[in-house]
Amino acid sequence: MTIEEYNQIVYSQSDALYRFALKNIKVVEDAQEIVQTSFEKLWINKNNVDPTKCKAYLFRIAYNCMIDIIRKQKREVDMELISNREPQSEQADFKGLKPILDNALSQISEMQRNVILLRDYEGYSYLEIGEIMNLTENQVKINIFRGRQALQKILGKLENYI
Amino acid sequence: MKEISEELQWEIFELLEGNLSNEQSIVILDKIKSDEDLENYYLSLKQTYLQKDNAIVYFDKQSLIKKSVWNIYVSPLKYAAAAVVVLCVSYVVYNNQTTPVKLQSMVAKNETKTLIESNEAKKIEVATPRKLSNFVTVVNNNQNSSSNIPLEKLSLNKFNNHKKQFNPSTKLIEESEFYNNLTANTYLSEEEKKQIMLKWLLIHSANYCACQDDCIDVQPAKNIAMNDIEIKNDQQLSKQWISEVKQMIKSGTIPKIKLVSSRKKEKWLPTLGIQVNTENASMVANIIK
Repeated sequence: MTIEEYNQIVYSQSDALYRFALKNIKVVEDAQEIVQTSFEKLWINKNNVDPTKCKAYLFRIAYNCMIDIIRKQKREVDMELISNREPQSEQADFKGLKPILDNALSQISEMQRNVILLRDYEGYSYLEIGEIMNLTENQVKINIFRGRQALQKILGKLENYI
Repeated sequence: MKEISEELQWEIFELLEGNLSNEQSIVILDKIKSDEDLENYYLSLKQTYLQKDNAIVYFDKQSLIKKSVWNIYVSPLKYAAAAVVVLCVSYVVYNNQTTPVKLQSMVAKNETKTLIESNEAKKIEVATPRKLSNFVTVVNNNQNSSSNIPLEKLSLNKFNNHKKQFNPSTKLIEESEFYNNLTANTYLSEEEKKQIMLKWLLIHSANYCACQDDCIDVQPAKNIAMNDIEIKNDQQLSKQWISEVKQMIKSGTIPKIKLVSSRKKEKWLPTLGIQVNTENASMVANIIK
């Protein structure tokens, strides 16, 4: 991969990657760090990555980064609960991006959320999502289905409540 | 609301995902339209499809962009090269501008400069010009005896001893205190120093000559440029002489310089001068009236 190809990917994919990260993590700084880490790794491995598949490679790295961050956040939240501290809002930094669906998204499982985001936002096929997340096509499809059902239930509950 | 079978849920999901053919889609859409519960399910599932949020943009793209090695390293090199060129040009211009000024200022300072040839103990002293911009030269065989005695006080016999030919050799120029003082602060090659020294000598000889009424071979001339041996009036002989000397210096030849004396009838003391000979012309700069 040449510098020009790499820079082209930065321009074409950084927004999508950031969107994907931000919708998942909901903390701007974390999302930015994920984007930077992903592109750094892409640059380091530029000679080993097929330019046609670098988009999937980027999202795979971003996905793995997100899992690390989410696990770390979970540990921190657990520690806070143990110490009886008042938990901080995980969404404090996520201003202006809180539609109902986003709230609902945050309530479904990580796996389901990610497959739905990749599917809806980036228009990935089941196969591509499977490559990013190390899943088979069927697993992806099932997760999307289950994720939508879960969202549907949450939204239904909200509608009833309203 | 009745329970919807898993199979129907899948079909609606496949419809929304766009995985069904046109025929299959028509069949399932008919089912949905005919059943309110199915329609509600379809609509609620359709709500779960996210719309791409284009307002979310990663602003710091520039931090991710990589610059080519050529841009990183060549740009500073380009600037460095430009700086070197500017410095070189400045140095050359500075030298060209300052050297004549230095020479001129040395004359203006009325400093006494001594030029010594160690073997023959000949001395030329360029002393304070008392009138105009000329200089006085005293030539002695004996360095210790009368080196600073004004020529007016020298006897004719003693003066005759100084009529020897004076051809400044390279060695003389290199070793002279005069020469060193003249060019001490300039960054010049030895050859350039010699030429400047000679040029200085010739200019002042000519300048002196131009200012004296009793100049032997050259008609009076004015305004001789210091940094370029050039005469600005119409004195053809001077012009020719200057031109030839200049040509000789350029070609690396040092014109022959002689100390000459001449005596006019009405004067007791002879006139001492520096004679510079080229192939076709000769000029004598009188030193003392």
